[in-house]
Amino acid sequence: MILKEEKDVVVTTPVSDDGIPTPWRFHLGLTTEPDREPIFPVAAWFLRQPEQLWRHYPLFLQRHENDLLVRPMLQVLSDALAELERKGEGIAVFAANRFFFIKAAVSLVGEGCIRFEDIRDEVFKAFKHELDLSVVADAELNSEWQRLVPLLQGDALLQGVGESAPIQIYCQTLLARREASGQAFHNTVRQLFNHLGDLLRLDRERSGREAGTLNETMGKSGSFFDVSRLAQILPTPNGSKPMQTARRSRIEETRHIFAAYLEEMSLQPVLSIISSDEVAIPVDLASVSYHKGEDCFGEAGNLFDQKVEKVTAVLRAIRAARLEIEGEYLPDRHDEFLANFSWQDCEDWEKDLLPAILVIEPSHIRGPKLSSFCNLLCSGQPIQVLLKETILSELERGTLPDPSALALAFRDVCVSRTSLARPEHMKAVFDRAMATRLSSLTVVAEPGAGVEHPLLLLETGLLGRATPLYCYDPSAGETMADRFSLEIPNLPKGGTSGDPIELTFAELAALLPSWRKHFFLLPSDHTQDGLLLLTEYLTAEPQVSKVSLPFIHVVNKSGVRLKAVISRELVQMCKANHGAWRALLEQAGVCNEYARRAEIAARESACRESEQRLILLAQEHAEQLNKTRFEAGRETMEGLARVLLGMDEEALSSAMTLSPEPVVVPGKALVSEPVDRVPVETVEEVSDEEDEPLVEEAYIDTALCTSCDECTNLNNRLFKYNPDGMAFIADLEAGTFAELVKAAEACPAKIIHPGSPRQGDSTVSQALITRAAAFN
Amino acid sequence: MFGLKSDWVLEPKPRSFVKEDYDAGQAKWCPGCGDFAVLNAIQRLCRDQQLLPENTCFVSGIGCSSRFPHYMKTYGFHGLHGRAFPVACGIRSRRPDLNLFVATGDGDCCSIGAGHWIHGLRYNMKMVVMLFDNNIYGLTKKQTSPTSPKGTFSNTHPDGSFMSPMNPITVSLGITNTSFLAQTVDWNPPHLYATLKAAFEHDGTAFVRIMQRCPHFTPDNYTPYQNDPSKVLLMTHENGIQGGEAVEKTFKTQVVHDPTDRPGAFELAINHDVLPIGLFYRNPNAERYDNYSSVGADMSPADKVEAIDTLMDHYVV
Repeated sequence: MILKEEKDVVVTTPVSDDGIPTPWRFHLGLTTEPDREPIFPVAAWFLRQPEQLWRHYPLFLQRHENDLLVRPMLQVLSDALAELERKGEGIAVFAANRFFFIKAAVSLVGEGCIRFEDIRDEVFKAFKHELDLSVVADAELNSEWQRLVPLLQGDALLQGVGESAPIQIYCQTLLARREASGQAFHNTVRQLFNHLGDLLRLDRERSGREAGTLNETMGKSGSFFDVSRLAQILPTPNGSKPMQTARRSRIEETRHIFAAYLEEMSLQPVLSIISSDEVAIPVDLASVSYHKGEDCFGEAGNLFDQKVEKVTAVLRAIRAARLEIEGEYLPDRHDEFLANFSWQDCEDWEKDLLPAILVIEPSHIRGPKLSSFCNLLCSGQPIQVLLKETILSELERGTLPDPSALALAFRDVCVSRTSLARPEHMKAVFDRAMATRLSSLTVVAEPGAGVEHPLLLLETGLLGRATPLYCYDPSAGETMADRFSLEIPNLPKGGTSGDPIELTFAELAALLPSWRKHFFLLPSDHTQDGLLLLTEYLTAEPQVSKVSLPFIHVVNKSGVRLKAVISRELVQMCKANHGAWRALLEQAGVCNEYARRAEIAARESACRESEQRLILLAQEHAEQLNKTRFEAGRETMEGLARVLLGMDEEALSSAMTLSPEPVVVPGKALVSEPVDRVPVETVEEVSDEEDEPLVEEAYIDTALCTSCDECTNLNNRLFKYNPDGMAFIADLEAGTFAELVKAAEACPAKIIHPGSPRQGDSTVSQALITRAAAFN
Repeated sequence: MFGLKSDWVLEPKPRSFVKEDYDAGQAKWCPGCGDFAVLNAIQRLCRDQQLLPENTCFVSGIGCSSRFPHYMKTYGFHGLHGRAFPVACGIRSRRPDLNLFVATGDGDCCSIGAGHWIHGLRYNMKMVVMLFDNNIYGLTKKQTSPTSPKGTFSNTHPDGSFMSPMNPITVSLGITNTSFLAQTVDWNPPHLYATLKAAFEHDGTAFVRIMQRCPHFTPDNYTPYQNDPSKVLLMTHENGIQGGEAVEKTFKTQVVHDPTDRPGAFELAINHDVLPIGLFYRNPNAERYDNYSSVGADMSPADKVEAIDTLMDHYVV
């Protein structure tokens, strides 16, 4: 569908009898908009692209070690295609059309969860049918498919977009985690059971030396003895006392508990799901039991208490068994301890063995259920609550408390909000909830039943911040910064400005037919009536928004771009949503109003200080300037006065040389003849070492000569020894500049200074001058 | 002969010598070797003192330094490795009229000749001992010597020497009856000359350690001091080496040190931060063995026989 402008529509704004324009009447609720054809928000247009739409679904769910891997099909395909490309195997046809493959998979899997291997070929068939390729391309695609199949996870489950997704992901994750830990626990119990049995057996056998036991103990050497006679003769082994009756009964009781566990509990389901009648559970897994009830939260608590008692008994028995095996059981101490032992005293790893209960309910909790819900959250029982939040359910917005906000008030509850649109985030919050071993609440945003484009709706809701993603984990640390994490969606840039596209609650509402009545359509070039874009309206000052009419850009089914005025009711919801998002940002530390105000105050204070400083500096500068001017003028006048009074004739001449302008002597005519200037001796400045002029003539520090013959051997006319046997430059004309430089380099005492080259020396070059500079 | 003729009176004309009179030829040391500076300073000294070449003797052992007698047009004795001292002591004992110089090196004196060195200093016979210290056995092409710095790579220590070097000055300070200990450098001819002159004028054994550059085998040993004169500590005193204004201008790091202060001399000698030059120690009252060992040098053979006969008569029965 191509966006286009409707140019032939005449722009008229009907006005009613009371003089209020119709758009305003609509906005104020004085009139209603009859149902018209559906509209689509322009800001959400980019979400229609396949890359956006099918980025996250369908999902591959696969067990991996003790966890569940959740990967979108797009990612799995991309990895497989990249692998083939690395090997140099062509996959061009498939790679160019992979979104059609995903589309075929989406249509076949629907909202359910199927083993990929079961529908793989069917998906490929539908994919090829969609492409309708030529024979050659079809053959190429078939060969590519043969190469691709081994890289696709055949044993994985394929999950579609639907309300089964969160339940499936949760259950599979839990089962994967519990499988290993449950097996280990089972083995531990069995070992202890056997060990306790050995204790009892040894005690029984201790009462006499039984020939059979003796024979076993002696082995082959038993053939040398009359074992039965020996058994009668041998005394009771020293240190072996019969087991106390109380101890025996404790051990037997413990074994009885273990036996019951091994027999019964291993057959118990790993997870119990409790839901009310209005919630359908489209998941059927082994090791999961399903319960229905009116008061799910209350029943979850009761079920937990029932199941946990049996588990606690086993944990208690494990402790008793270990003490008995070590022989360290002290009734005085341990009886009371074990009697008071409860599941709250378990170690962290043992809490993974406590009964797993999942309560699934819709998010609009009210009435007595609300009370049960709160009781459950403050019970501390590690029960997981999953609330399904249908987007824009009319009833809950603004009328009922947000359950996640309510749960946060309990402090020790792990609270998360997630969305079906982000399965990876959903998996992550489930992992977090299971790891905390606390009561947890997860609110999952779902599209609801009968929605035409569920993913579109979910994405719009997420990007419009109507369904935020966050997690509050009280076990993560002491501060809110440690506990609270908020996912901020990445908005794409668009339009000519390149600014991020802004989506609001109104764009989400525009997608739902039931909310169509909140929009009044106007032509896109309508500029009257104080129209203001909703994103600006929400952040405008009250005096501006009071006289403005909020709208969003939409497109109708024919592709015509229009402006949709929003009803006041919807605007209130948008404001509430905007405010809620701001609050979340502040809570997450992303946007802190206090910090912003402090920053503004600090900035203003710094500006003020710098301005004051500038003023002070300017004043000082002006004062200094005036002072300098005054002093300079005074000096000039003093000099002039001295000259006039004839007290310092030298000053006249120096004044004349210093000052380019002629000195005017009052009462005397200017001398027209040229005045013989008194030569002024220029003061030679004491030069620093850095200002020393370059040496002009070559010379040697003769006193430091070590008489090594290097220079004299080079040119004994240029260099000669004095009577002390120390070198000096005898005749500069007798040698060349090159020889001077060479001698300077060869002199071990570094006392030869080549100076500047003579006129007419043909050996001079820039390189030599550069080399000589080091010795000058 | 028909009588003496007045014009046949042989009166030796007064002789004056120039530096070239002591120059025996082109020295064959390596280009840039510090020995050249010492040779020149000694020749200047001989000229300035107008030493009779036939009354001057240079004794050496083995080494680059010990080539010295070959380049002086005087008498010389190029002896065995480490044995310059005994030869010089013998010459001194029987020819006390000679101007005696000893040229020895750090290997020749401090290693194989160490025993003679100790007693040579102790005997305190009048001579000038020049220790050409280039920290290496150079003539034999790079072996570690007792004064080689720790870590010196040589043919005998390919991985670097692992012993700290000996300090000839501190060793000499510990020898009884030492009378003159000085240290100088070859790259400052004024100070070198002044030191050798003071050594020559001393009555006794004047031991002068000359830090001598070896451009071939140890080119970098003295480079820091040569390039940065502030690392050289000039010992000054009215009784010390008078180098002159030029020397004091060159070496600005100075300390006033009384040459009679033996402990102070030791403190200065063990200072590793700077290279002290000047006179460490002087004892003009030290005993001189050549006063005893030269007894009888002026006796004729007949006198000696008579003296022996006189002695033997005591035992005649």
